Amino acid sequence: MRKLAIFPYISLFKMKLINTLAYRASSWSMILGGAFYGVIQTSIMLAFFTYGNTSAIMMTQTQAVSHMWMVVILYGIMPFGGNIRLYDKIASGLVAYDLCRPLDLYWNWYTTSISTSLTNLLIRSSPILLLALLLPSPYTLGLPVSFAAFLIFVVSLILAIILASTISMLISLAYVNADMGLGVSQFIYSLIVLFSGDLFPLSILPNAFASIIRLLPFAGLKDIPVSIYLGLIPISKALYYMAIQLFWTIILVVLGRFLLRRFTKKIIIQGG
Amino acid sequence: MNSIKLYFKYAIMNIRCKMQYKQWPFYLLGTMLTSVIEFLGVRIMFMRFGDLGDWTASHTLLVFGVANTAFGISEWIFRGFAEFPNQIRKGLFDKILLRPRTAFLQVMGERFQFEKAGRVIVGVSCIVIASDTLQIGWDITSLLVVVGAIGGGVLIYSSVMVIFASISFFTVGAISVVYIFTNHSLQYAQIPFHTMPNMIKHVLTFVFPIAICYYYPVLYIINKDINVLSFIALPVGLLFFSLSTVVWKACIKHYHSTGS
Repeated sequence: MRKLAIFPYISLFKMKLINTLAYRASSWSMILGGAFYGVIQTSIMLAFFTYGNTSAIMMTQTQAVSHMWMVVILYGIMPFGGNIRLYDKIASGLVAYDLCRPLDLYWNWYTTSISTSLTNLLIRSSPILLLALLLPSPYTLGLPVSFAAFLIFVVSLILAIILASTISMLISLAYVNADMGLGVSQFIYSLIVLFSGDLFPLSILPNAFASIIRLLPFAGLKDIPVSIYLGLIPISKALYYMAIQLFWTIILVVLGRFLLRRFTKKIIIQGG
Repeated sequence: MNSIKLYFKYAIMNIRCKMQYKQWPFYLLGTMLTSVIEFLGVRIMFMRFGDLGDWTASHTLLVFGVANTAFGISEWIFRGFAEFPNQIRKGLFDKILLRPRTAFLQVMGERFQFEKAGRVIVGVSCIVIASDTLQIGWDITSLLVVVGAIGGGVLIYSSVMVIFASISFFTVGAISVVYIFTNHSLQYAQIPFHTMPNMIKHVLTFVFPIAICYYYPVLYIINKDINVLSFIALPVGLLFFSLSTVVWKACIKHYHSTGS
């Protein structure tokens, strides 16, 4: 039976997929809202490129616009706010059931997080991707710089999804400490927004700054895969940046598991 | 009158509740930090691209101040609606329906986030700093325009929260897309609208009218240009808010308990 150890996790993913498909209104609002946000974000980028001074900028307008579309398309994988259901489970005492299951608690919850990302990408992002590709010239999402870059982008994107779930787990675990949890999650949210390439492509910064910020765990969520797609990170350097993604994933998984173990040691089940 | 008294009771209860957590000053600081970091993004864009025509980083600071103050007050008072979808999923709304008061008031009273005052503090400081840099001559009309703009903004954000809470009667779950109309809107509200394509201008003026609450009033304060759009923030906000209460009342009829 050891061979089938992955099986329960696949079932968890299926459950999440069916669950998301059931909430159709939520998916539609995600798609419409995403399209709205995308058009606004790209127009802002275009405004800066049209009216601003671009002499110091190391990327083209098309790349910047494509970056903003990618930000919107990958919105569903971002670990904003952590896993809220997990928080509910802890607050309501339902966590007791999870503790009873013959699955590793960390990977059980982790699968829920990653399933959320994947279903979001599958159901909610693909219509926006299609729209972005079909839009007329200045607003359109550009194609990947080369086929090789595209393949590496896919690998880097998978790493990004794994990393995002790891960070999401950490935020959720912060909630366990009712005293500090809210403040910590707020702070991590701000860091993600600022340093992941969510607000602006990190490539508009001077090279030295960009490469320092890309050493943090946040750039791996969005900026690194997207920059590979756009050719702003050359293929020769892609391996180095993917190593950073992997490095942070491992570190944060270890940290998350450590925090979880501490939490389960003195767990208090809320009745009700 | 009774409702207002009841609401204050809710508010005091919430504050007492929060005070039980000894770290509450950190919440305030955390909120302040979050809003400062949010501004940094646009600031960095301006640092790299320079001014957009005659629209400088200080102009965006002024808009950001007004927007942040409005959003802070709205989150302060209406946060209950933002967290409402979770209540629906857990079936807690049944409890509210059983009580002999309107659901609207009770959902509103569920949360009273006084730590969002941090956002308001940052917002007001931004307005002060920006008006110092831009050397704005304040008179009674400018002050009224700003207060009206903030009031309109509070109403618009509150309506967004109410509308998304109403949608959750159907979706039975939180919709993270609401961030696009709340937290993220603080970013795109700061951009000069004359650089935007007409479609966007119309959407942000007539559909999701934050431009009326921030951009046009700020234009009046800076240039003293007389434009109708600068003065109608409050009525538009009221209109939007009454619309959202209509939506709420229509959707509440579709409530099915999740029973858990």
